[in-house]
Amino acid sequence: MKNNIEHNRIFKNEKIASRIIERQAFIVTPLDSTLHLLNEVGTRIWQLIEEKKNIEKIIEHICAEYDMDRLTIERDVREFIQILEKKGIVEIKKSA
Amino acid sequence: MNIFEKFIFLTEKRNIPFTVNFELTHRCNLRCIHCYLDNAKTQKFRKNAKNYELTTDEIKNILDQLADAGSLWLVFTGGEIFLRKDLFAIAEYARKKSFLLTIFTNATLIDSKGALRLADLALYQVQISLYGARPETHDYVTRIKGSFARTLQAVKLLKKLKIKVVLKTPLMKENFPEYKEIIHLNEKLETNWQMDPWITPKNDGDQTPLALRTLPGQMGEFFSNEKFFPKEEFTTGEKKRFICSAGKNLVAISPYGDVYPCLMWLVKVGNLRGEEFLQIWQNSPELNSVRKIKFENLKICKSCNLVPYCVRCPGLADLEDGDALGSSRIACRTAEIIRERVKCSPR
Repeated sequence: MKNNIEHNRIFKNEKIASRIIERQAFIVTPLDSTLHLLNEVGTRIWQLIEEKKNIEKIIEHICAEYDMDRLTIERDVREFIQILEKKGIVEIKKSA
Repeated sequence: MNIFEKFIFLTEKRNIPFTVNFELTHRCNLRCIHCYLDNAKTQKFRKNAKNYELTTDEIKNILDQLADAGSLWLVFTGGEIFLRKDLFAIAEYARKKSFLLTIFTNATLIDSKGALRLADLALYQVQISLYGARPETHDYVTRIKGSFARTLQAVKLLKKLKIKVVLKTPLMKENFPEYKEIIHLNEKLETNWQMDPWITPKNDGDQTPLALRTLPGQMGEFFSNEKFFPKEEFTTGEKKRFICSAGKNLVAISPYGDVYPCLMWLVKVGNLRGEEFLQIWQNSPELNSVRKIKFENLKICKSCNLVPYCVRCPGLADLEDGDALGSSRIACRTAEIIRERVKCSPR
């Protein structure tokens, strides 16, 4: 079944440590003490997650800020957020 | 270059204060024989020290500034930080600001309730001082009877809650004979551990603690042990190790708001009660001088053939002989021992 995350809320895992330095997000996950580095677009998505934007809003922002077709952006953003979830960096919760 | 190396390179190059060693108090409930803070002159002051320490709000404000400056790894140290009644308020705020938080403590004041609150903080590490494998040795060093039992009890509580614990042992003449037992105790407790033989002078320059340093034979034994001897690191030793991160991507803050390049290098570069952090970090003439130090500026070390075996600390050189650009006696002694071991070890 397709994981429909559009209507779900994305939360930063409160247990992580993170900082944006020179437009790059550095994130440490607590369980494995691993340092993750996000690229420019990943960092922008991370900022939007920190601003508590849902996936629709994130896609809107990325479409407005980067010169790429919407379909690619939608696919990439969803995949990226699922990777973040898998690594324990974000939690995806169903909207009430 | 892996991500961590990239991060270190970037923060050093751009002078981003990635690591902050923040002393929350100089007060302590132990009286360790080797302590670099404790002495007769300061004891009277320390009894009233909390009146002069940064307040909760001042610390929160500093944490805001540090987060904005790009600091990520924050170490709360003391004294004994659990003597501060606002410790959890400060630590919770630090985590809310997304710092990677490590605490240094003797753990004697951590009870089950405190351990649970620490577990909620998702700390990077809790580093705890352990001075012996036996109560009589540890309590001899701390000069407080029962401290060993209390520390160990806390370690067990933290381990049960899956908190990452590192037990740190400064080796000296008195506890050296049981260092193998200390390792065994760590293995039994399933804790990570660190040991080093670098006892330092007191912060006020008092050299008394140096009499506690391990004997030459003990140092030789220590560095002949495979568990300590960083063979690969030293056989490819380069002079780059001489220039440390102090003042480049590392900064230290005292309980009174004083800012230093490092807790070992006590050149006061400003005070956070009167100035903003970035104002000090970016404009301090002392910090800018520290950042410009090159290997060629090190008076004795630049022509020393022990360089490939040496881990020199400028702060320690300053504390030992009043010259951060000079050599450090303990570093020279250690390098000589390491060179002998490298020569003797099979390739």
